[in-house]
Amino acid sequence: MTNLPGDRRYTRAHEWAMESDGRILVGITDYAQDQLGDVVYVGLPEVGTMVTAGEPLGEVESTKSVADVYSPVTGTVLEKNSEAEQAPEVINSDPYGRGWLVAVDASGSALEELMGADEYQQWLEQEVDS
Amino acid sequence: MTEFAGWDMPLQYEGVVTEHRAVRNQAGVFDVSHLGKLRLGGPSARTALERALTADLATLEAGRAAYGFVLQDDGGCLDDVFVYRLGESQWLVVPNAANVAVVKNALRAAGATEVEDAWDRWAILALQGPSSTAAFESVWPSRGVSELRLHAWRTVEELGADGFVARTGYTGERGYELYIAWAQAEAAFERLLDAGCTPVGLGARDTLRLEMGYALHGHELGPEINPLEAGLGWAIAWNQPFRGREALLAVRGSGPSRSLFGVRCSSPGVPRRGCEVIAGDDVVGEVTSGNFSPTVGTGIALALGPAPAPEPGAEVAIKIRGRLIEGAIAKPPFIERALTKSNK
Repeated sequence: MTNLPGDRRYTRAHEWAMESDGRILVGITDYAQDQLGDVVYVGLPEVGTMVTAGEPLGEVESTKSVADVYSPVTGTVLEKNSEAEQAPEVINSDPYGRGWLVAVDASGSALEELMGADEYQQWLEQEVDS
Repeated sequence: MTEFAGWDMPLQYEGVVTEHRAVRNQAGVFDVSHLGKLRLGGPSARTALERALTADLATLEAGRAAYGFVLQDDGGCLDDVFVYRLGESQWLVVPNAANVAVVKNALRAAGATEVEDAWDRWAILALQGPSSTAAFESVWPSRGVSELRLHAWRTVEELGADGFVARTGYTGERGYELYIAWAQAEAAFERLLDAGCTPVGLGARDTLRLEMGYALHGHELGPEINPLEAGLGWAIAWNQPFRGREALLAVRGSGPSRSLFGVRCSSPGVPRRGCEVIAGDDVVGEVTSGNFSPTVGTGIALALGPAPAPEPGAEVAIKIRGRLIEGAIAKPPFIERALTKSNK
């Protein structure tokens, strides 16, 4: 059973977004890391980069495949997780915590438009069944 | 699970990196029953094999196996195979799963009259890693596997009718391949797991062989890539009248126009097949296989480019989806392992 904390919002492309100290933290879900397998590389945008909701902000690559990470929100990158860049396995071991990817400024983002945990859970069940 | 040459194969069990490390540090067991199994016998077999394979049939005694190629007339490689001499006039040719029909046809064309597709005669388990001997002996004691030389095999009664164990593999570690009657295979797999072996899927099979620089047909070898370009001239018995010999002799005379080389990345990124290798302003090759190396901790790649390849140590870059990753030419294997040392 995949782990879905209720304190954040989710996208259909399996990212999460959560407000923290006035910034939006972004990462990939437990389901996404499990599907990818061992993450061995993560490519993240530089601080100051503009990201747009629904467009790629970076990539996560495993021994098996590479996946784009789509930004759940629109804004400017304030910080990237250099620990995840140097030790990408943290995305597997702690996707909702130390495996976060970027922090984006909160202006112009509408987290409530994204899915809650229950809705994402239903989406996952649909996607897995189909 | 993944589909591979018509077989449902496990890509991974616990995870590629975990499985990879288990093989490097302890022992892992792979189900490689998908490999082809072509049995040859009869008076025509030996001559046909000499015409079809580059492996040296003259020195291949019963109880041993050898590696070689099935070539086209132009020297291009139809497959790379292991051939086991099962008896005085019995051989087993083990092609890649995707190439069974091609190899079977090549053997027939070379004059083999009795070629049996023996895919259902054996399941094959590869038991690989520094603890593989101990694991084998804890399940089947006193079979003498510790004395088996590289590429030698011996009969093991408990593996069923025709069952045998060979000191062969595709990981660079000390290890064995167990040819087991299908009916006994599942129990054997379970017993090896109980003995502490980690189950390993296709994903780690690929990263393990890549760290050793071992060729994979369809990547480093193929109808468009001859064995001399791939640096595998050691597996060619030049005195034997194998198909493709004339073309390959010409390549040997003039030197191959392309050569295979290794690249070890120094900045983060995972090289993949098709990525360009760049030195200065020049494209010096194209990646044939690439991945993250769990042992080295960076990306590694095999690449094919115009001969001569840049010298080991030369700085290059690999273009991965538009991004340039720094690296240096390296001579495979990328790591020091059991089979790269003197204890072969």
